[in-house]
Amino acid sequence: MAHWFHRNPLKATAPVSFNFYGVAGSPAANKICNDLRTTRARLLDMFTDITCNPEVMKNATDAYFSLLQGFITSLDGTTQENKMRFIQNFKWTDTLQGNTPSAQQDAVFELVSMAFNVGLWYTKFASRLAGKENITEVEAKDVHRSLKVAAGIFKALKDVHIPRLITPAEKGRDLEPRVMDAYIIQSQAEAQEVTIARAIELKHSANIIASLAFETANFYQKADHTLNTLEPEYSSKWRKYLQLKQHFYMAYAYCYHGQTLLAGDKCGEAIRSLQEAEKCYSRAEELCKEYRQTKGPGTTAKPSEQQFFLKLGGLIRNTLDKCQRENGFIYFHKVPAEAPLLELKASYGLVEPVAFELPPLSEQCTPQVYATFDLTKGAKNDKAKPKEEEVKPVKEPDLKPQKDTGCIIS
Amino acid sequence: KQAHHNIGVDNIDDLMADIAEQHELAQEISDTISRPVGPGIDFDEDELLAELEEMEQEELDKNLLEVEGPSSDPLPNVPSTSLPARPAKKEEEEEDDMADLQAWAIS
Repeated sequence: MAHWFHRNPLKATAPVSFNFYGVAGSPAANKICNDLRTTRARLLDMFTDITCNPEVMKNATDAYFSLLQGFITSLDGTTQENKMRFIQNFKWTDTLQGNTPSAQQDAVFELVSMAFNVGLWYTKFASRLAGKENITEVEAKDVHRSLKVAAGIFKALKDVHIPRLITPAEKGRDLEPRVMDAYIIQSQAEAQEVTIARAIELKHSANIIASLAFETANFYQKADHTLNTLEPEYSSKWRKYLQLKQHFYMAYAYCYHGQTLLAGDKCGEAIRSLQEAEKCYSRAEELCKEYRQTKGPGTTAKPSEQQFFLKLGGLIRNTLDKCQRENGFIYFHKVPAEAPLLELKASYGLVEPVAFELPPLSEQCTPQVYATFDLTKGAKNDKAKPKEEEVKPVKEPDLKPQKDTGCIIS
Repeated sequence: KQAHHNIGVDNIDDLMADIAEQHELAQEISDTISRPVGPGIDFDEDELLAELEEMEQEELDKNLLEVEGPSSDPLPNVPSTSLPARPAKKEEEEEDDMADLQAWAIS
C-alpha cells in the first residue's frame, strides 16, 4: 500500500569557504579548513541527489561532522569553550520561512542546522520510497527505519545540541522547540503508518490495528497542537496535513474497532462505531480539500484521490453494510447514540527513535594542529572579509506531487 | 281436454318408454364422444403432477445454468480491501501478532 506524506522544503545555506586568512598557521591546519569546505559541499550536494541512499548520506555526514567537531569540542584539555567556535558566520533558511535566512556566528548553529537538514533528507527519502504503489517488504522496512532515524536526529538536536546555542531560535524557525517537537512526532506517526499497513497486510487482529491507528491519530493530534501558537500564514498548510491524517487514522481506528465489536456479537455498537468511522472519514475528506487550497511551504497533492485514501472509504462502507445486514436478520440490536470509546493501550514502542550519535572526532584534529590556529592573526584582516555569501534556494528533485498509479488486482 | 282424451293411459306408457330409450341412446353417444381417444390410456393425476414438476425443475435448472454459465463476465470484483478474515482472535494470538510487529519494528 502506498503512503503519502507532506514534506516541507529542505533548508538552504550559503556556501562557506573556511578561509581564515592567516589564522590557520600550519599546513595541517590549512588542510582541515580545505577538508571542511569540500566535505560540506559534498554533503550539501547529497541532499538533492536523487540517487543518494542512507549509507552514502551517513558517510557524507560523518565526514563533515567529524571535522566540524574540531571547532566545537574542547581540544586543549580545558573546560573552556573551543576557541574556533565563533570564528565563522553560518547562514541558513528555515523550512517554514521561505528564503529568509537567519545567521549565527557559531559552529554549534551550523552543526544543528546541518543535522536538521540530514533529518529532513531521511524523511524525504522515506516519502519517496513510500510513494511507490508496489512497495516491497524490504522497502517498507527502509521507510520505517529512515523515519525512525529522522526522529532520532530531531530528538537529539532538541534535547542535547540546541540548548547549547547562545542565541535561541526565533518563533517559527526550525530550531525552536515547537517546530522541533512537531517534526519528531510527525516522523514517529509516519513510521507507525508503515507498521499499520504491515499489520493489515499480515491480517493481524482487528483489535491491534484499531489500537495502533488510534495511537497514530493521537500522535498527529499532538503534532498539530504543538504548532497552534505559530502564525497561520506559514503553519496552516502543514497543520491541515496533520489534521487530515489525524481524522484519517481515527476513521481507521473506528473501522477496525467495529470489526472487533461485531466479532464479539455487539452488532449495535459495531454499527455505531462504523458510523463514527464514516464521520471521521468525511471530515478527513474535507481537510484534504482545505489542505489543497491552503497556501504554504511544501508539496501539494490531492490526497483524497489517492489509493490509500479511497481504499479506507471502501472498507468502511463494506464493513458498515455487513454490520447492518447482520443486524437486520440476526441480532436486532439497538444502535447506541454515543460513539464507543477507544482505549489506548500502553504505547507499543514500535517507533522508538533511533539514537543519533555524532561521529568521533577526525584524527586530523589533534591538539598540536589545533594550537597552530592563531586567532590573533585573524583580527587584522577584518577589512579583507569577503562580502556576505548569498543563500540560494535548494532545487529539490522530489518536490513534485507524488503520483499514485493505483493498480488494483481484480 | 280433447288432447287428454286422445292420448289415453296406454299411449302415455308407450311414450314414456320411447323417451327413456331415446335418452339412453343420447347418453351412450355422449359418453362415446367424450371418451378420450386411444385405448388403454389410464390417467393418473399424481403421475401428471410429478411430470409437470419435473418439467418445471428442468426449466429452472436451465435458467440457473444460464446465469452462471456464459454470462459470467460482469461478476462483481472481489473487494480489494481485506476484510478481517479472522476477526475473533484469541488474546494469545493477539499477543503473538504484537510480538511479530515488535520484532519487525526493532530489527
